[in-house]
Amino acid sequence: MKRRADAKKGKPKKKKAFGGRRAKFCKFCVEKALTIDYKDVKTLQAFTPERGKVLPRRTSGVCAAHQRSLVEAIKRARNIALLPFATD
Amino acid sequence: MRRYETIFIASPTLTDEQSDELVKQYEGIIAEQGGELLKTDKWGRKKLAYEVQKFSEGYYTLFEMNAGPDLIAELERRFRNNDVVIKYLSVRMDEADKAAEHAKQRIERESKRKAKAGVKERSPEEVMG
Repeated sequence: MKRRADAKKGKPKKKKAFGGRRAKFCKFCVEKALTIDYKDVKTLQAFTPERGKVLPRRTSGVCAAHQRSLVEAIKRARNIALLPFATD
Repeated sequence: MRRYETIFIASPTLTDEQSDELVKQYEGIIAEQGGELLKTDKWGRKKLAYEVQKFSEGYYTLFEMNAGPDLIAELERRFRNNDVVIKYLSVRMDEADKAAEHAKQRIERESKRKAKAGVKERSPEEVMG
C-alpha cells in the first residue's frame, strides 16, 4: 500500500519488471527466519488459504528450502489440531 | 539426552483444576523417569481445528524437556492408556536446533560476503512494501 502511494508522487517512471507484477520473494529469507515453528499458527495460516491446503510455491514465492520446512510445520500443526486438514 | 517438545490435549469435560492435576501427574512421570523438564506451558482451553473424538475443544499443554527416547515411549504409552488425553504429539527438537545454528552461520557468512562485495542489504520493510 505504502509503495503505491510513493509511486504516485511523480518519481521518474521505471521500466516495468516482472511483467508489471511485483516481484515475489521468500518471506522467511527476508525475515532471516532460522526455523519455522509448528506452534506459530498465525504464520502458518497465511500459507493455508480457505480450504486449508498448502499454498503452492509458485503463488507464495517461498524458496524451496523454506517451503520444505513450512510443509513439515503445517503437517505437525494439523496433527495436533492447530490447523485443519481440510475445510469446505 | 535429546531435546523434545511434547504437546497433549486433554478432554474438555475436565474442570480447570482437574486438568492442572493431570499436568502435575505427567510432570511427575517425567521427573520419575529421569527427564529434565525445561518448561511447561499451559495454553488453557482452546478450540480445535477439527473434531477429535467428537470434542471441539481441549486443554493444550506443552512440555519442553531433555530426555531419552525411552521416556518419550513411556510417556506416549501413558497418553494412549489415559482416556482423558484425546491427542498428543512429540517432536524431537535438538536436530532442528542444530539446523537453526547452521542457518544462522550461513546467514552471517552471506551478509559478510555481501558487505565485502558492496551489495547493499535491503530491509524487510523495503522488500515487502
